[in-house]
Amino acid sequence: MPDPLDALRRPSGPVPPRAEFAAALRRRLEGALRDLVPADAPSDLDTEPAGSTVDLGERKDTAMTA
Amino acid sequence: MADQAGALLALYDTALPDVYGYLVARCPSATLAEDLTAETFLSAVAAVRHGKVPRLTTAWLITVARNKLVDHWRRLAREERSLTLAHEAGPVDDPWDDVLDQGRALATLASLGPHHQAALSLRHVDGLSVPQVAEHLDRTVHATEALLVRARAAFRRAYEERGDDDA
Repeated sequence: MPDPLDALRRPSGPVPPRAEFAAALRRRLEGALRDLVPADAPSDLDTEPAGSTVDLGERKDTAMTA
Repeated sequence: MADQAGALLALYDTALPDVYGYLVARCPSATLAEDLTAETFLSAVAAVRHGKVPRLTTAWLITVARNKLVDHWRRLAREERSLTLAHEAGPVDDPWDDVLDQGRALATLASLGPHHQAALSLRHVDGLSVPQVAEHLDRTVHATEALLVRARAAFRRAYEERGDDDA
């Protein structure tokens, strides 16, 4: 007689979550880590909506004083 | 600390499907899996802030996720105790002649009380040893063995009942 507990035993593989969830969680993490990540690594931390800044064609250096 | 903060963000995209995949396979709903996934990564942030990350890897994040799952079962157990839910499982004589169905097994697992879910998930889904399960559940090995005996019996009863309900 097979044991139904054996049906539970299986490796769990990667499963992508909903894209909306993944994006929202990334924003939360970025917000929580914002003060720890160096200012010269802005690509992952730029969460401002498009259109809220004026592109002057060159990178603005925002000096952080720790 | 800044290095680890950046490393956590860099790891996020690759680790997220692993962490979520681990949790969604053990949670009764995707919503709960998402909640626990978020808790896992936010705990990782806290650990980075406190310099308490031994080695920032997907495996470490899975360990954090497992702890979140155990915490969830503990909360559930406390809530159940306060509600004193009565669960009656009548005897079933039918033999197990159904084809084993993983979906049915997982649904059965999700229907059990949190203590039984925790013990069976750690032992039979994660494949941890009894001493490892005991460590996660803050119980002695002897108490964990006894819990597993009760949990397996409850699982088998519920599994049979579920088969009857489906028929």
